[in-house]
Formats: sequence, C-alpha cells, structure tokens
Amino acid sequence: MINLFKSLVNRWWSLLSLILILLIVAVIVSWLPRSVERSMIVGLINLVLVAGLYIFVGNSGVVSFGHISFMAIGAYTTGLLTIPTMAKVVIIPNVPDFILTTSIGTTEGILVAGIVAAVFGFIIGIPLVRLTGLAAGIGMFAVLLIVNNVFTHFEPSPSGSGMLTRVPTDTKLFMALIWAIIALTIAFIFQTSRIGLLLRASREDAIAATSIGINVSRYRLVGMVVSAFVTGLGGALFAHYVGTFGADAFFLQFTFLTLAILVIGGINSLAGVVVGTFFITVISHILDRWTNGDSIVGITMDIPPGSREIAVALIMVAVLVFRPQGITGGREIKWPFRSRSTEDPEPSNNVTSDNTGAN
Amino acid sequence: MLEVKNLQVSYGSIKAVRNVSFKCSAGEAVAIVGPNGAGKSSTVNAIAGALKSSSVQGNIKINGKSLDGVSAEQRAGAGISLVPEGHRIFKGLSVRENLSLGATSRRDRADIEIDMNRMMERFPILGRLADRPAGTLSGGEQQQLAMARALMARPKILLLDEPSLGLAPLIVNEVFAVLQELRDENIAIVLVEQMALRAMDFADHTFLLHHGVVETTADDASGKELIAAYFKQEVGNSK
Amino acid sequence: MTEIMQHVVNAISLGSLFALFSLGIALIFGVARIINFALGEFLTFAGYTIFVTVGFMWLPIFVVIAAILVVVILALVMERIAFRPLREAPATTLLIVSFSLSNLLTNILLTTAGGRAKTVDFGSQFVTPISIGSVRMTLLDLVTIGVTVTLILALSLVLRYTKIGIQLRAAAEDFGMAKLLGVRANVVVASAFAISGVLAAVAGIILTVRIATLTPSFGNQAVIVAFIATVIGGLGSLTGAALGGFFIGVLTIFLEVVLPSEFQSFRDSFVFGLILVVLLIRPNGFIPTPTGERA
Repeated sequence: MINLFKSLVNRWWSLLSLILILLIVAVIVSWLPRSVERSMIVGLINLVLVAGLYIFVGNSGVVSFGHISFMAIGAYTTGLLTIPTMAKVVIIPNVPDFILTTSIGTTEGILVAGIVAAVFGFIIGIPLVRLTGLAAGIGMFAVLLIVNNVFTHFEPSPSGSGMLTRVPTDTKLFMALIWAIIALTIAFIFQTSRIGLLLRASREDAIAATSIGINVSRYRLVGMVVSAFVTGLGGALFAHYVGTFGADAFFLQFTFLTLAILVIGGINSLAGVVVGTFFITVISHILDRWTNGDSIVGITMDIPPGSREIAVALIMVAVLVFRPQGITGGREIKWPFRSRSTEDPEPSNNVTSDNTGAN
Repeated sequence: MLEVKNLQVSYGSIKAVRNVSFKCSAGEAVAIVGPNGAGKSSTVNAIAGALKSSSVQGNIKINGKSLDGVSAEQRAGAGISLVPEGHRIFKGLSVRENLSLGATSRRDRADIEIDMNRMMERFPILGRLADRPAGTLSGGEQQQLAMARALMARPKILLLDEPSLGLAPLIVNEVFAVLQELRDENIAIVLVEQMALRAMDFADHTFLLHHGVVETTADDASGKELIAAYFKQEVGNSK
Repeated sequence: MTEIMQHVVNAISLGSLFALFSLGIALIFGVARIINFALGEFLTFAGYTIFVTVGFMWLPIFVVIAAILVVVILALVMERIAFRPLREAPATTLLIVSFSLSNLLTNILLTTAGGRAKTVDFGSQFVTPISIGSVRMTLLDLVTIGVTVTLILALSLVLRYTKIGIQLRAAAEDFGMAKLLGVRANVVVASAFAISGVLAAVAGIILTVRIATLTPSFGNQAVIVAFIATVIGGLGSLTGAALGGFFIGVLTIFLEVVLPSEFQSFRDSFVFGLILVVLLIRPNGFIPTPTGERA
C-alpha cells in the first residue's frame, strides 16, 4: 500500500509540486494588498494561456506564432454566450437569434469556449500539422492574422473593431486558481501520456520518428486540439476578467508575451510554464507599480510607461543569448527522494526543433 | 611546417579523433587513410578551422605559431586551404566567381588575375566553362574547380578530403599529377584518401587511422607492405 | 479600360513597395538564416526620423539621407548586439529574437514618442494626382516604381559585380565553405543588414509620404507582408521574395477591386487565406533555393 502511494507520488510529483507552489503563493497573496491580488489573477490567466501554448510547442517542438487565435475564439465565444440577454440587444443586435436569447453562466461559458476553440484547432490543425519548422510557425501566424481580421470587422458588434462589453467579470483569485490548476493538470496528463511521449520523441527528428511508425501528424493534431482547448479556456478567463475587449487585444502583444514566458521559463518543461509566468508576473507587478508612482516594499522608482514591455523584451533577448534553455533548462521538478534507478536522461538543450535535420 | 600534436575532436560526447599527432613540412605529402568513421575528415577539418573550437583540443601549429583561437577565415589567410569532401563548390556562382572567391584573403590584385589565367591553363576545362554556373559542371570538373579554387589562395598547406571520391580513374590520375606538381612547388600536402594504396604510393608518410587513433604509420617500404597487408586482411575478413 | 489601367498602376506601385521590403527580409535570411521581424522597425524609424528632421533640414534630400542613415545604423547595431552572439542558433530561435527586438523597439518608440499618431508633411507634392493620357495616378506611384526598379537593379549589380556581392551570394549558398575560403563572416552579415536597411529605409520613406501618419506600429503591417512574401516566394531566393512581395501587392489591389463590398473588410483574410493555401501546397515556396533548403 505504501509502495503504491510512493510510486504515485513519484509519478505525479512534477505536477503536484507546481500545484503546491500555486496554492502557497495564493495564500500569501491573499494577505497582501489588493494590487498584488490583481497581478496574480492576471498572472494566472497568463499561466493558462502559456500552458496551452506549451502543450503544443513543448511537446511537438513546433513553434506556433498563432495560438492567440484560440484565445480570441475562446474569449468571443464566452462573451457572446454570457452577456446578459437584456444587454445583448444593445451591444450585439445582429447575432443569430439563439445567441441573442441565451445567456449561460460563466463556468459553462468558459467550458464551451474551450470546446469551440478545440474544434477550431482541429479544423485548422488538419492541414497545418503536416508543416514543420518555419513553415508551420508562419502558417499559424497566417491563421492569427485571419482570425484577427475577422474579429476586427465583426459584424454583430456595431461599435466597431470587434468590441464586446458587459461580459460578466467573474474571474477572481479562487476561480483563476482552479482553472490554472486544471490547465496544468491537462498539460501534465498530455505530456506523460503515450501520445505526448511519442510526440516528444519526434521532436528531435521527425523523419526518424515516422520511420519507426510514429504517426507524427496525427499526434501533433491531438496536441493542437488539446492545446487549443486550454488556450481557449485562457481566453475565456481573460474575457471574464476585463469584461470589455476588442479584437486588437488578441494579437501581437499576447503572442509575444506568451512566447516570452515560455522561452524564459524553459520551453520544454511544464515547470518552465509556472516559473516563467511567476517571474514575469513579479517583474510586471513591480514595474507597473513604479510606473504609476507607487512603491514596492517602500522603494519607489520613476520610470516611464511602457517600461514593463521593454523589460520583458530585454529579458527575453538576454535569455535567448545567454541561456536559451530557459530558467528550468527543460527539467521538471523531481521528487527529491527518488531511487537512483529512476533517473531521467539529460534533457535536450535545443530551444526549438526545426525538424530540418540541418542547422 | 604543419605540426599536429595530441589532436582530439569530439562531437558532443562522441570522440571522433582521440589522439593524432604528425608533422608535415613544405614539399612533403602526408596521407591519412583508414576505414569509414576513423576520424580522417575530422582531422583535416580541425586543421582548417571548420569545426567549433569547443570540439577541438590539442595543439596545431604552423611554423611554430599556434592556431588556437584562430578562426577559419584567418587560417585561410595564414596559408591553409581545404578542398573539403564533396568539394562544396558554389553551384549558383560561375566558375570564374568560384575561383575569385578562392583568392579572398589575398590583396595582390594583379597577381590574382595572373593566377586565374594560370588555373585555367592548368585545368583547361575551367577556362572553357569560365562563365557557366558551377552547378552545371560534371563531377570531375567540379573536383578540378574545387582544387583550382583552393590553389587560388596560393596556400602553403593544402588539405584534401577524399579528392578522388566519385571520379573516373583517368581524372584521378590527373588529380595526382597536379598534386605531384604542387609538391614540387614546395607546398605541404595533407591528403585524406579512400584509395589508400594510391595515396600511400604518392605520399612521403602515411598514417592509418582507426577509431580516431593512429594505428600504423608507414614511411618506408616495409611499412607500406604492413598497411597493404592490413587492408587485404580487412577485405578478406569481410568476404 | 482606363479604370483597369489605373488599377494596374496602383497594383504595380503597391507591389513594388512590398517587393522592396520583402527583399530586405530575404537578403538577411539568405545569408544569416534570420527572418528579421524587426525590419518593421526599420520602416517605422525611417518615418520617425523624417518626422523629426523635416522641420529643420534645409533640403528634402537631407531628410532622406538622414532617414537612411538612421536605419542603417540601427540595422548594424542590431546585428552586432543581438544577432552576432547567436550566429549558431537554430532558425526559429533567431525568429523569436527578432520578434522580441521588434517588440522592444516598438515599445521604446511608444515610450519616447507616445502612442498617438503623428502627421508628417513630407513630399506631399508627390501625392497630388496627375494624368498620363486618361489614366489618373499620383507622381508618387511613378516614383515608387522608378525607385524600386532602380534599387533592384543596383542590388543586382552589386551582387553580380562587386567583391562583397559575390561573397554574399557564396555565403548564402554555403556559409561554412565561404568562411573556409577566408570570407569574413562578420563583414558579410553586417553588409546584408546594411543593404537591407537601405531598402527598408527607402520603403519607409515612400510609405511615410504615402500615408502621412505615423504610429509606433507603422512598420508592423509591412513586415507581416514581407514575412509572408518571402515564404511564398521561397526562403533564400531574392527573386522569389521580390516576386512574392509584388504578388501580394497585386493580389491586394485585385481583391480590392474584385471582392463585393460586403467582403471588403475581409480582404486581408482572403490574402492570408491564399497564403495558407500556398504554404500547404508548396511549403518551400515557389522558387526553391539552389541548394533546395527547406523552410
């Protein structure tokens, strides 16, 4: 019985440790001033988004520049469905009737958002997973451009640029925490599943993998769908946090931010998702406070607006130059009391896989 | 002239060359032979500077000066020319342009022109195809272009990696004839070759590399017989 | 008929502009395997330089020179600081870096110049319509086409007949071999960046005259186009990139003319959608490089 417990903990520790970290941080934050709590909620939303991105990029090695399209779809889906019916007539009078008359709860909205994003991921994934390396990244980027263009000229919203408002702002710390844990769990289950492992095997050399029977495209598709689902959840959470958004929210800024977090944390590990998000959230919080003239533990600095974005970009470049494997180096958190025989082999130091076999 | 001491080449955790030492003076020819994967290419690549410096350990000296930290570009300027495996000519550029690139490290404009013409005389086919894209040349012609290009630098040390690969016997003869001329012009030659016997015949010293280590050397008749016997044995074993 | 001619002129003009900055991307990619997303910043900085200098420089030509100079310096600094240390990194890492640089520079502009659009009055005399025969166009259209053709010609001449041009072509084909022959890697890559800077600066100047308003994300639209053009034209092929850029310009005008008005705002989606289709059919682009490099 104790052995069963031990082996379970061994297997799941990489995930449990991360959840534990989140819980501890949440508890600490609840004692700190309001602004910290707000930063944490934003951080948790980012966590879900990055987890979504990670599910695809970390496992397949294909860098996608278009994942924020899933975020957009998630946000708009839940937005359209959860705005109170009375407000709908004013805000989005031109939607099909069944949307006009339905209004579901936030949680349902978030789930449906994830599902719709997943379906979308499936549809575009079918052709796109056959591409590798640069072509795939660019293909996904083209998808983002299309989604952005479509939502910007979103007919149902007469106020222009795809603006939606009066989305119920329900995302509070506890809720964000739960969804973040769910996102991490899904990511963990995927990466330790048979498909996830085989996908990782194909990361280094897709041709070799195919030659031993791994259907790389199909597994990538699964990864894409799961990844779209989680990213969609993140988009929905975002929608329920800001309450009002336009299509331009889901474009280059978030693309860059999520990619930056992934790279800084370590593109190949789930721990990297948490570590990276935590790191960036803390820095963002401090810089935001200083920009607004507030103090952090009594220290004030006078910095111009936009410094946060500059700092993140600088850190990103610095990490890529000096430590391309990120803070975690692609490693997960291991149970410290393992027996020697279950040691894992050295992680790969490649930030990305071009799958070209030539560099 | 060229002095190699305790050369080690590793790609990650794989050691391609474990311990190689030899010398080659002006007007001397050294041949490196051995089975596939023995580390022959890695050796000459290391000397030419084609490998990452983190992969290479040991001492390489030209006339007493160490090549440590000297980049490939600078080595070309120091008189080292490599004719790499597969000759790697620039297919999109013309024959003439390929040749001119060989002289990149040289400053003496007028002499470069003279050398270009000399190359086209020495390798007449190049003269005839001077303005054609190098990619349209046949295998043998490309090999000649690669050699001519390397010679455009007026090297003091010429490294050749499998120059006879894929060439018809007649062309191989021509290649070795040129090498002989070069030796007479006092150029130091390091030759990696599959055609071990041919190389041994030509060279002043021959090294047999196996698993990255010099197994046998030959610079006299008895040594040559030893190596020849080794190869015959290999062939015999694989039958 | 004249209407068609006008559209054709429009298409060629826009196509030329797109071709210019697509060349900028292709040049750097061919030599250094970097897709320089920060090219957009070259355009933006050219615009802002004009904005800053147009007040106090005597002759317009000085404004032009200033813009080009600023961008070239920016390009060289960018190469030296961010890309040279990463020379050996895989292509997607380099793409992420260039993406970050673009983000960084946009935000620096946002911080220093503010996010509000600025109007720039430069070369407005070129935007007045003229008529050639019965076809109406602007002088700018002619200038754009003329300048583009000249620059492309000049580039071809440089690549064909100068020492650095031959080295650039060699390095684009086989960088390692070029180095072994003594070609100085740093000089070659820096040259590619500098030339790319000139092309982008000129495109930025033309764009500034054309649009007359500046925002920090001015160049981002252009870079997206160049990005895509280079891919469909075939990464590593200069002709391909130029043609790709040209094609997208023409396609944009074509769709503008042909699409019924309800779909007009989705014109860009059609363009991107078509790009996706191209990517799927020919992931290596239409014109593969001499070595058949895969994207």
